Amino acid sequence: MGKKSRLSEPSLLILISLAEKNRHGYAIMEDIEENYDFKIGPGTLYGAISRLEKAGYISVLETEDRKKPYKMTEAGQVYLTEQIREMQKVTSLGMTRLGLI
Amino acid sequence: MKWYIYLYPKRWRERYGIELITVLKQTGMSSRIMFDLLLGIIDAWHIELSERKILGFRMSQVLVLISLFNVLVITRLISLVGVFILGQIALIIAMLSFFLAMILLVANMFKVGIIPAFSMKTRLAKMSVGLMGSYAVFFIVFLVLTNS
Repeated sequence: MGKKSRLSEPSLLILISLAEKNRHGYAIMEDIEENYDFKIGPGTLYGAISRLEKAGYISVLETEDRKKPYKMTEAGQVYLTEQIREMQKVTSLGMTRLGLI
Repeated sequence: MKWYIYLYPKRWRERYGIELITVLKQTGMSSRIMFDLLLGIIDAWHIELSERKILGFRMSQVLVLISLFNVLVITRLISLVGVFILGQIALIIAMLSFFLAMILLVANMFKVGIIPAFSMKTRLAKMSVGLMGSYAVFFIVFLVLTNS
């Protein structure tokens, strides 16, 4: 894996969903819809899943079922942690400058 | 509903096609989902073209070069003589591709039999189809150049 590229918002939401437990495609969609009041389409979902899998951040769990569950890899955990820390920095800077904290 | 999946690149379809169909069965089809799938198809082709290579060049780079060449022809920045020579080269490559495709097809027929030779299972059949593709591309290039 080369230089880490920035992933899109749906990719991060998928990683956050998988941080809780292993989920298949439709379960990820439901989880995102429930928690963020944001609907992710199947085309966007699988586009993001393919990118995450290629980057080595998630992997598929082989089953006989047509619904394949995905799990977050260690590299995925490291990446998500970095991204969340970065977001926290931006959030706290923004809040400070707005005088909210 | 399944026909939508066939618009995705083959590699992508083989990996995620069944899963996507399963999800679509649960979500159902709406204009929003169709639009989302369309964006997904464009995205998948973008990735595919960025990764697939022809003679060491990325397919996207090859497509950009072909497009640039077409722009030069359309805007007549390449002289007609140049176009004529390129047209002849394209025709020669097209004919050579067709000739080689036929040779491989006949060789394959002798090797595996007449009917199996038309399936895509053998390496020779795949090469033959590839050469027929090359024939089609170069023949179109020839037609474009001679009509420009």
